[in-house]
Amino acid sequence: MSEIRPTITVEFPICNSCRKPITPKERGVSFLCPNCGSYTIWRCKTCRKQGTKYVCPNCGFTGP
Amino acid sequence: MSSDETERQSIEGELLVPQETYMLSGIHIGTEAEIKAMREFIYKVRNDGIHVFDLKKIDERIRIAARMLSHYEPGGILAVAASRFAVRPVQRFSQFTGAVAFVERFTPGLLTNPNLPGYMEPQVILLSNTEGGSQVVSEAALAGIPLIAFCDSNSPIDYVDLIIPMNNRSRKSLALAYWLLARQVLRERGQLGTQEDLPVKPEDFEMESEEGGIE
Repeated sequence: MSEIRPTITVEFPICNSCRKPITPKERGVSFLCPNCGSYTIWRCKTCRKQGTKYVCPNCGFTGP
Repeated sequence: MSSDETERQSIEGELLVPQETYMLSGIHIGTEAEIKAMREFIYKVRNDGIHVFDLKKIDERIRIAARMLSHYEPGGILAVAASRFAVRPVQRFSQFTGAVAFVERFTPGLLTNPNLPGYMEPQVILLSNTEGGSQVVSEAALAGIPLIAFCDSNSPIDYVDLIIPMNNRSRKSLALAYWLLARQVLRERGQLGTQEDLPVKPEDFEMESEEGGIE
């Protein structure tokens, strides 16, 4: 009888600027939206380096 | 009453301090060079080539930065002075808000090397100048710490998560910006009323010319 192994699903956070998943090895950053403070914004290292804009889907604040 | 005067009064009603206070501190004076990311904060380019910031945008960003800082515990905020004129404003800012002030030379590894004496794990960093504080910027990037920075029209914005556009080279403008930020943070936390002021004036945040500090 074959053993049924439990499967684990891991969801990576998505970068708010480029919409790519941020892997744990990548040095991304997360912070609450500076304007509304109710949505957690994630930014990947590349977008931080390039200064790519991010938009809060809750209040529409555009940064950096 | 002329239309210009009416417009000025309506603008002043929205600003944190009167327009004259902003103008006298020189907070709106940028540099001759500009980078693309800072273009949205520029109001105009003067005949001599100096870029002038939009006061409304400076005001708005100071409010937003204060709101962001109020989301964190006072001890989790690291205020770093990366230029000589930012030393006193940073010390006074931390005195009022409870943030950790760092006004000395930034030893590499302070945010990334746990074996180093004085190793810190702040939740957010407030930097006075991205050019002078490039070591802080690179370590904040490695450690994944959100970074709020005062940026001039030619300042690099790498790894900055919230830009506060302003003149970050002047003694008076740095004093006014940190004073406004301290007042606004306390208002956001509810420690000050919406119309209350700090017990000190912006001049008390100003670095005196005889005082030492990092170059």
